[in-house]
Amino acid sequence: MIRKKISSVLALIGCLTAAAAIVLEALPDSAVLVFGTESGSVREEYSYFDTLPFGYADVWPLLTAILTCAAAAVSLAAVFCRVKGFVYLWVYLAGAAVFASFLAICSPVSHFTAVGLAIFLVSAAGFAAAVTSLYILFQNNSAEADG
Amino acid sequence: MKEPFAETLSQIDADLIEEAAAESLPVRRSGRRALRIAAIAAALLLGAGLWASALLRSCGGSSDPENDGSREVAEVAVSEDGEADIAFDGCVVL
Repeated sequence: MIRKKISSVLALIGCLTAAAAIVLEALPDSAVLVFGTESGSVREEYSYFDTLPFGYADVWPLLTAILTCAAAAVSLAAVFCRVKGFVYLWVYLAGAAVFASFLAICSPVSHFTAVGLAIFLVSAAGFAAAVTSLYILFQNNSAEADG
Repeated sequence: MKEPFAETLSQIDADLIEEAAAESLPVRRSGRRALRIAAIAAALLLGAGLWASALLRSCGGSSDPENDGSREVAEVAVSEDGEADIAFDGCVVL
């Protein structure tokens, strides 16, 4: 029972980290595109929710935003509905969000920003909470099977 | 063989029924219903994110005050002899 409560607390932590990531992603200077013009290069900043970087083949910021929203919703569901299925889904989505946020700052078409790094770190914290929650649920099942 | 997503849905259903049976409670919500609510919540969050980013941009959040998010791609000027002179402000993403 205690393990299930810990699992719920972890789901709440995951929900809060996802909310923090969404706030960072909504900032207007989280994603960067560098345009080359005749007079030199021009640096323009966008939000992760902006579709313009996606149109210029930098698909990772928008993918990160979508995956973070999905992970936030599923982790919220996992707070109230403590079942393995939701935790599995949360782990998949949070893992995919971490992967996408990593590529959003490190892929060849992307550019590194401090906000991007913060989004990656917050997403990684959420993923760690998801994996720990799944581990605790497995431990709980093992304890119930033994007992 | 079931698809992985369908398997996850079945797992949610099975877990909910199992949990309700263990605690002698009626199953009030199915996993699918909770998942549907989660999908709606995700869509709402995405909408809120889009709205917030547009709001922050309109509040002058961009580092370049002259950049309002739009970019002129061509300038059309008509010379004295009536010929159109189109100068493209072409740009490529680096």
